[in-house]
Amino acid sequence: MNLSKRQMAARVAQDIPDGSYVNLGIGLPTLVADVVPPGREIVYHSENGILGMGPAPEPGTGDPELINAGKQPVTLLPGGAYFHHTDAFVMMRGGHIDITVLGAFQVGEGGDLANWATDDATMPPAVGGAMDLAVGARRVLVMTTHTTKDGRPKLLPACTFPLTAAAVVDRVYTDLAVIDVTPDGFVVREMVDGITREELQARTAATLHFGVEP
Amino acid sequence: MINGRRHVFEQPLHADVALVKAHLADRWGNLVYHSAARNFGPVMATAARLAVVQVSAFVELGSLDPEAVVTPGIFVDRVVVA
Repeated sequence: MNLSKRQMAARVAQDIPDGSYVNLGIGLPTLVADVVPPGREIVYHSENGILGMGPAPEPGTGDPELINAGKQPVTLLPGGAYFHHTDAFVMMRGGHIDITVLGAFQVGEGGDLANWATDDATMPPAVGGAMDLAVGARRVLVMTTHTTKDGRPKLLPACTFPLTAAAVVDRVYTDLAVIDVTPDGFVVREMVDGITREELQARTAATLHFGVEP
Repeated sequence: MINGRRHVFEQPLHADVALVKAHLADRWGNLVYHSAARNFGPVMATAARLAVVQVSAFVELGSLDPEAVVTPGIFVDRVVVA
């Protein structure tokens, strides 16, 4: 029933058009690059200063100075370029990134995103470029499990953790559903097989609406 | 006031269209400029909704040194060879 991480990534990748400039957040979203349908040319941005980022290198062949924002070794595709952090953030804040895919601790029904700090004092907060991406990217997609590991809902009427940005999320992809953020709140567009609307609602703190994509 | 000194605040400059002259471009719109003809080109390309660039030659993707690209292609919308 629940989608695997890779299946979630594949569902997100379907919605990334050919020719897009895309920034993938640290964690789950980085999987999306591995499952983009063949024939689509996507230009990946990393906020430490790469455009045209390619896949991970063969083990043992990486360059310790060619890494993504999550400090993992990467490669550069033909046509790629390097630049300093300020230019990387100009791309984000200036509205040049078409799509960002971010992880989330919580999403509010008005599109608020909380993905950098929790109420767990043992977990140091880490914001990276998420605030700038959330505000600056033209389209903000969230990829996250539907509930926390201990079963608490992540889709809420309002976030309780500190916000990354307010009213920015366009669409949420979980292991159970694809959900749009609309002026009416969360609207479920797709659900995995084997789950009912009532079961999905039971795992969601915010009220869910159901409707086909306009 | 910045560090106790008075400054004039200028609003950011945006353009609907920037017309930029560069030297070389590739298919992704990456640009290098020639000599002192760089001018405001790199800055206006970032500030315009539509950046149209005239170059003297179009080169293969991957032939521009990624360390030396001055304007990454994300800021470029149209390239004209002239």
